[in-house]
Amino acid sequence: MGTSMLVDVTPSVEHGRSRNVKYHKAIALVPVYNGAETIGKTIHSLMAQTYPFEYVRVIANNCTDDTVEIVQMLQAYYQSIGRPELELLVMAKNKGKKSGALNYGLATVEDDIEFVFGMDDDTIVDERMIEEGIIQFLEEPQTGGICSAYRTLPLPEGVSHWKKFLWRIQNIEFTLANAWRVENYKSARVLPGVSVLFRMEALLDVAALGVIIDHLEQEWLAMYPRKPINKRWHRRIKRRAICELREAKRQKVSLRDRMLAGKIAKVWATNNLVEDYRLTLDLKDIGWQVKSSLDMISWSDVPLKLRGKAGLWDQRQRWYSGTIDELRLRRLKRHSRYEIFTIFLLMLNLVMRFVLVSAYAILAIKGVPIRWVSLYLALPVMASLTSLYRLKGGDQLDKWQIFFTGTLVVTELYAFYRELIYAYSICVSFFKPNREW
Amino acid sequence: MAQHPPITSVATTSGIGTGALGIYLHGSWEVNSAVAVLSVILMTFGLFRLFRGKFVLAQARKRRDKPD
Repeated sequence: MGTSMLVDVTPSVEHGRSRNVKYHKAIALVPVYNGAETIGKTIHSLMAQTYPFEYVRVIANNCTDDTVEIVQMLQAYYQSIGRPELELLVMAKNKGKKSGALNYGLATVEDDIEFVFGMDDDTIVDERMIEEGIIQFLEEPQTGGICSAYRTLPLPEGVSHWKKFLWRIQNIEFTLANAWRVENYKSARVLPGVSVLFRMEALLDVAALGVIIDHLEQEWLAMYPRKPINKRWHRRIKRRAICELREAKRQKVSLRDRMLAGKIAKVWATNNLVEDYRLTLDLKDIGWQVKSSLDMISWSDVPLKLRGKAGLWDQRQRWYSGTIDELRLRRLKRHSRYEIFTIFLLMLNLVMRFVLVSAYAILAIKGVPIRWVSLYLALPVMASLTSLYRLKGGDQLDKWQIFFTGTLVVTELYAFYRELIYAYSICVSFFKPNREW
Repeated sequence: MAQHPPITSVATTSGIGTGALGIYLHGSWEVNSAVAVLSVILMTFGLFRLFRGKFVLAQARKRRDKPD
């Protein structure tokens, strides 16, 4: 499907499943914070799905712009054409930010809902997205969450060359990330909150886990009122809670009741900068599989400036430092040790870049003749060809992006920039705790 | 949405960097060549994983698209 069609997406009255898929109740939760400019297109793309939602619930989270009015207007429009499924929840004093809004939305979900779709307010989804996700869920009963392939929203007309450049390198990054998802088809490393479809049962498990942890923590505090729960004890409590949860599942205890005992679902963490990463690891810990699907496609906004609020540095630093926070909390456990290993590799790569430059500079200064071993020359050639192959099938690729990827210079410089942010984020995680988004 | 690069993409820089360090410390091009071989093997492994992923996903798609 062409991107231009998605950007100019128009509400469709004629909707229905394009394949013979048995109907299962699915809903969408869209937390929005001051998204007046983007929420319209997001809602239209959800209402145009080939697999209709029971309802699309927009949660206006502390909005101070015209978001609420726009959603109400769209609600009236859809009702006038016989589509009453668009709903609006308004949260005026939500302290939990996006996670708080999602938890609030989830707590209002009816008992018979089987699938929950969560997405950002600046994202547009392909019209077949939910259909593809549900087909995959029906085939894989052990899968608890499926994320989509991510693409960048097209650039608006008349932007500067610098913004075009930033957009191009991020489009290359997104395309390469989709190729990595193909490589790691057995398990997704993270289910990004941008657009992801969950099995309700899996979310209920996470909610039940939260309730059990709360209960165990209260027990602890009752036993040792003067001893605060440190990270070590929190890890132990969580381990015990996972065992209890698995036992409850074996005995088929109603998890929905346990979740409701906590009054509000605590599925998305409110004390973490990357709530989606924690949820992914929690799902894996409980025993659910998490997958990505290239047949589910979404287009997302990307930052078009380097510094400042919502700039590229700011966004990546939040992602990376939140990831490090979470991994530090979990230590070397089953689903975190490989992640820690990849961060070690990333830092090794950063060091090696400096070693590479300085070693050859010294060799040149000393006058050591450089012998161009053919195998050595083959390295960058192979790296270039590999990257170009990974780019195949990407979206909105132009000659500049192919040139950047083929010559490696720009893409390697961008990789170096991200590694620097990662190194900085590690320091931030250790020396600046209790950061806020 | 924190994405980490796969091991194979780290192979190139690390391979070349370690090789350069080898030449500097030992004055031996053999060290460099050995590391280059390792990097090429890792990159080939990455491509194999990509091909395998594409094949498995294509098979799954074919199975899903088959009429009942």
